This record gives sequence, structure tokens and C-alpha cells, in this order.
Amino acid sequence: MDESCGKCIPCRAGTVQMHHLLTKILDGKATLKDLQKLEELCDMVKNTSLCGLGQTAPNPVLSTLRFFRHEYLELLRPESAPAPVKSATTPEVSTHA
Amino acid sequence: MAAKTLTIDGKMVGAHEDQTILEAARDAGIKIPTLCHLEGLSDLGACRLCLVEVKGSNRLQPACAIKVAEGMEVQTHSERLQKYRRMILELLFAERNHVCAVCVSNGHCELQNLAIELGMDHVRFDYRFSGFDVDITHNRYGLDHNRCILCTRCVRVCNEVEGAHTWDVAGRGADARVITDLKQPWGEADSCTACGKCVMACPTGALFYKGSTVAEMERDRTRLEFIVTAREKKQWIV
Amino acid sequence: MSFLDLDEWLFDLAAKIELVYSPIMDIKVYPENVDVVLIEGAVANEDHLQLIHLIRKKTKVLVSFGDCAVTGNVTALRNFLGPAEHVLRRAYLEGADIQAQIPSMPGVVPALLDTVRPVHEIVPVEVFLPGCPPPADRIRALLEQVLAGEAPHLMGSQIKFG
Repeated sequence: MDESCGKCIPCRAGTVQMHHLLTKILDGKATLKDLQKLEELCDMVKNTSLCGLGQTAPNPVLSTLRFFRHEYLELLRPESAPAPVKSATTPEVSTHA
Repeated sequence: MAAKTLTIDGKMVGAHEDQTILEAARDAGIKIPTLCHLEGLSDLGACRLCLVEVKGSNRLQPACAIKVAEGMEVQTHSERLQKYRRMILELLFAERNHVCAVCVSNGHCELQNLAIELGMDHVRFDYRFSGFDVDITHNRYGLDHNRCILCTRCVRVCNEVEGAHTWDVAGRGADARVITDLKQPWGEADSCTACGKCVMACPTGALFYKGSTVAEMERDRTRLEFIVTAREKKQWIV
Repeated sequence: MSFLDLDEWLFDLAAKIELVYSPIMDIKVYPENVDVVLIEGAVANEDHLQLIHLIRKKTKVLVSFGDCAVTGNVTALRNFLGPAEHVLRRAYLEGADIQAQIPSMPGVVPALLDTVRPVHEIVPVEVFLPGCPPPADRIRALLEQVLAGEAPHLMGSQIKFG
């Protein structure tokens, strides 16, 4: 996504979302729905991007999904389990500014 | 000056040879969604919303950039195309801050209207929440990067119609943004003639008249249309 | 308020449904086996987070009701300021005229989440009703479909944001 020039939307915003979904999967926060979303997104970016960069950017994701799908599946969390959400513990400071 | 006959969505359509698919479809009453195309400006095929299926081609083609051809068979609203279009819109909504409820263009926005047209009831992608700047240094107009979709209509209208070329694009990928002159604040951009054509051309609430508040911004495109018609058809219709 | 714009139709509605949980009812615990729930607002603090998971577990149809629930809308604008700590600092220290201090009452005031998220990013949602607020006729169209036992499906201007 660092290589995207930003002219067309599928490549500019699509690669960012692809990266986000992959990170989510690696962090163990993704569900099967996210994986399907990733596949749909890859298909869209590949078929609608303006130039060769966007048209080929999803290829590594698509080929690993094809050959190493089990590794993706192992990292997913079940749909019913609550998603881990980071919350802040209220800082117990009472500074007088 | 040859005429071409083609089929759009199963309908026989006659078109002038140097018309694009988008223009031929428009003349035939078929509306193809687009955000970067604006009548009278050059086309760049960047928003990818006007992509259509052309029989015999394995790639989708941007209707705004492809000329009609004899015997061409075009599909403009297949299920696959509509799915892609909706996803492109979702990407746009997730990319920057498009909060319709507090936007000057609420109710008069091309992005908002497209969401309605394509049945986008929610965004499946996680919102990015990346904050951008707002430039209100110009004494008449303002620029909110958070609402910009980088269609570059402002860049083209400023260069091609006004001839000032104040606007351009800087940065790349998700960081790309429209700039005035050499990335100075708009108010200090000497080449700006304050004609306001960029504001008239903008499809969203990114460029606005100062002083307009939520849902108040209605764009007057008639001045742009007047100049474009005068130039292209030599007709001075007031 | 927009819901109250349904005016006399509210009587027809009241005859057909049993209202089991609402901010205007004196009930503390979310009941079991709820058919439909209209969720207003985004998920912004730990209370919301707990409640939304509980609601999901005990409800058949979740309706994301209004722009805040669907997109985060205005409530999510604080996300630009960064994590919760920055938000609290901005609001209670930098923005304060007198007695600048961050309120802290563990167990009483729920802790803010680092980012405000729309409901469907946390739990699966069946129906979306955007609008800020959704006008009464759209609410009615949706509820009539639900009452008729159909899977609600809104089209065209019925799904306008803002």
C-alpha cells in the first residue's frame, strides 16, 4: 500500500483495508466473515484497479489463500466469542492545569 | 462524422463516433454512476465507478474513457458491477471522515446520493479514523480534506476552465491530498483567482463557501455549464 | 424523539408488541428471548460493550438504528483525538476553565473504550436503518416489515445517511 499512487480508489483505499484485514487475522481478532470480506475485496481490487499495481497487489493474498487456507483458518476466532476490544483504564490523575 | 451503432444493456443505441460509452449511455437515458467525471472536463477514469462490461474484453472498461465502436455490446448494471461499485463506495466512506449528519453538503452530495442509489446501508470495512487538516485561510472558501474523495475535479476545472492551475495533488496512496500552489495555505496561494469554480465542481462537502453550515451548501453548476457550452458549442445561452 | 413522531401509529404498534426493555422503562436486566431490538448509538464505553454482547446473545434480530449505531457518526469524531486518555485530557484538562481534573470513579463511571465503534464492528447485525435521525416514515416502514414477519429490506431514499 506504500506503493499506491492514490489516483484510483480500489488501489488507494483497497490495499489499506487488505492490510488491515490481514493484521486483524494475524492478531487473532478476525472471524470467518472477515476472511470472506478479504476475498471479496481482493477480487474487487484486482478487477477494478486502474493500473498493473492495483491489479496485481492482491495476488500474494489470493495465492496464499489458495494454497495455505488452513493457516488462515487456524487464526480465526469463532463468531460467537466476543471480540477483544482494547479499553482504557481511566487514568487516576487529577492534575490541576 | 460517422455514426456508430452499439448495444447498451440490450438496447440499440446510435452514437457519434467520438462519444464515450458514458455519453452514449447518457443520451440513451441510461445513467452510469460516476464521481470523477464532470461535463466539460477531461476524463481520467480514477473513481472506477463507471466501469462497464464490454463483450469480447476480459477486463472491465471505464465508460468515461472508452470511445464507442460499431457493434459494441455493453453491460452497465450487472450484479457483479453493482457489487464492485458498492464496495468502492464503502472504501470511500471508511477512508476519510464522511459524517453526513454534520456536513455542509448533507442532502446535496453526490457521494451521499450514490450511497442511496447503490443501496449502501452500512460500511462493512472498519473505519480508518485518520484525521486530516481543514484549510480556511482563503477569505471566501474553505477546504476540508476529511471530506475529499480525490476525484481531482477541482484540479482539472482550475487548470482546464479557469487556466490558473492553482490546484494539484501531493503525496501518494492514502496520504494523497489536493494542494494549492506549492502546498501553501490556500489564502497564500497567489495563482488563485478566487473564481470559485473548484467549489462549484466539488462533488462532496470538501470545498465549501465560508459561512455555510450543515446542509446549507447547494452548488450552482449553471455557471460552469454556461462556460463549457460556450466553449464547446459556441452557444452563449444565458 | 423521531420515534415519537410516529404519532397515533404508536397506539397500533403498542397493541401488536410487548415492550420488554427500554431506557424509559424501569427494568435493570435485559430479558431472555427478545425478538427484535432497536439499538441506538455507537459502542463507546465498557458498559456499552458488555450490554451489546448480552443483547446479541438474547436477541433474534438486531437493528442498528440511526447513524450513530451504523457509522459511529458524531460520537466517533473523538476517535481523531487518539486513545481515550487523550480524549479525557483534551476535554477535562485542556478544555476546562476551572477545576481541571479527569473524573474517575471506578465501578460507577464506565471506562471509555479507546475508539468508538459502530455496532456491527462488534457483533453481527441483521438490519441497518441509517439516518440522523431516521425519519418516522422510515421507522414505520421497517417496523411494519418486521411485524409482517418478513426479513426487513429497505430501498432507495429509505437508507439515506445524515
